Amino acid sequence: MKPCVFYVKKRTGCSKLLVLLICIDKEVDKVESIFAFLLPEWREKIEKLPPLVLEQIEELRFRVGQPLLLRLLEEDVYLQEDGGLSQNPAEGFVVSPEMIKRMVLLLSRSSFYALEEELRQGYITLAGGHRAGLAGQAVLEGGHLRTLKNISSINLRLAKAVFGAANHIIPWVIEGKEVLSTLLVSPPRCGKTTVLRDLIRQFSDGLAGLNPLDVGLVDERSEIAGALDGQPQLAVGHRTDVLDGCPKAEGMVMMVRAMSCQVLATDEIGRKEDVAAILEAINAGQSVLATAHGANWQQLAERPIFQEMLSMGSFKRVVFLSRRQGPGTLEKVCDGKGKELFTLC
Amino acid sequence: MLIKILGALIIILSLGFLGQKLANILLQQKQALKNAQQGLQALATAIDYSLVPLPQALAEAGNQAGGSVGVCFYQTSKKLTSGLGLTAQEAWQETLLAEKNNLPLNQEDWEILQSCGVGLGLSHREDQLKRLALAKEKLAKRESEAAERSANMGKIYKSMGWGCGLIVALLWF
Repeated sequence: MKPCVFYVKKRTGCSKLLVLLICIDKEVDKVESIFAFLLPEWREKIEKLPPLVLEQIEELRFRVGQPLLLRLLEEDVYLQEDGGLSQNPAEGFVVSPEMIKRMVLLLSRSSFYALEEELRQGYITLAGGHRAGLAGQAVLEGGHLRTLKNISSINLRLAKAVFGAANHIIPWVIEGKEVLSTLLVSPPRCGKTTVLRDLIRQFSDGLAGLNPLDVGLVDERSEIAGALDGQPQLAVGHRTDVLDGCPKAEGMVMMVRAMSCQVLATDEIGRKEDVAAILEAINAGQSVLATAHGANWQQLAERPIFQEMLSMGSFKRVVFLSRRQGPGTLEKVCDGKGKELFTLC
Repeated sequence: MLIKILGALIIILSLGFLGQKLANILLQQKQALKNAQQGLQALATAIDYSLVPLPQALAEAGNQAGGSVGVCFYQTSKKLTSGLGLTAQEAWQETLLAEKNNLPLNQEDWEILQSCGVGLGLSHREDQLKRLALAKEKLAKRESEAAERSANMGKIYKSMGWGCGLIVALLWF
């Protein structure tokens, strides 16, 4: 653990910031957990960054022949040769093909051969729930993607289980003792998955006025529970059953039949069969929590796969999120028919 | 006279054991080459059937191989899980370099073993299996040569050791 507390205390000279300091410390620990996947030459530069920068890192982007990019909460910066940060890409530390090759080995625990399924999906889930997105040359078999080779880009995305991220949404998705089927909608990087994870955790562990519930989580892309070798790496609650890496449509049917869960959760619905499985679950009386890409009701309603679901009012709540006041900003809450219940000014 | 007899016995025993030792070195080389092949076979099986991560596969291979070659598989597995940021090739080659004096192999065998690390874990399954099969084939050839050498030279070393001991002792008398 970095001496982050002392660092901030020295800067502020204020002991009332203890809670904030503990939070920063936890965030820095999360960043430190990805150091094992970095090459020593990058690691020594990144670990020397101030804790206030470290805790803001959301993504590390490596592209062959391009400078190493750190995507922070509010801005993007390039790591320099001397370990400093710059907003000018020309001053950034350039990533070589050899570095990418070595990093792929670290990410895959030197087991590239064991990751064909993951490579087909385009990402690898890492210990700690982090994930590495990969791009390179596609290898096709029978016209279908078999694997990737000659990797040229890596996007190391930090998993952050933010406790309490869903606190402001919970009052909208509970009615009495019932969890309402809810669709969380936002453009990418607005905190859908983080909010969904926290909703799952809170329903699973129980909260004031609501007893703990059995939650079935179909985590097709291992993004919610961040499971590694089938074991969840992120907090999803003590009564959550995780079906990891399973296609949503099949997984949801399995969960309903086999685990008799009270709440069913899944991420990023986008295919016809996903919608069909969700409708089946809702019609069977199951509460469903799901996410989808979109910015507003109109955009969502224009997508053919959502038309039937929205017209039937299958979801009781549709919650729109944005980054306006930071990731997970509650922008709008609608009922299943599109009637606005809340709008952020 | 007693001193002469004792001296002669010491000469016979020393040269006899020297011959034995040289024959054993050949036997150990053959055994180490066999162990290395068993290790590579176990590694290939782990990669082919259970798709286990390389550190675990190497530990299993170390178990199967045994002896000083097995230690190399173990050490490489340890290095990969130590968080030092080493690739499998670096870890394997570092280990072999550190264990070079403990391995009863000659330079040529050692180089074949070292080449097994090239591209280890870096490519898809079929490619990994091909590489391992190729290395195993080379080691098998070396093993049969070593076996032949051990069968021929081993006997010669043993006989020469005891024989020379006797001749030197007789000449001394």
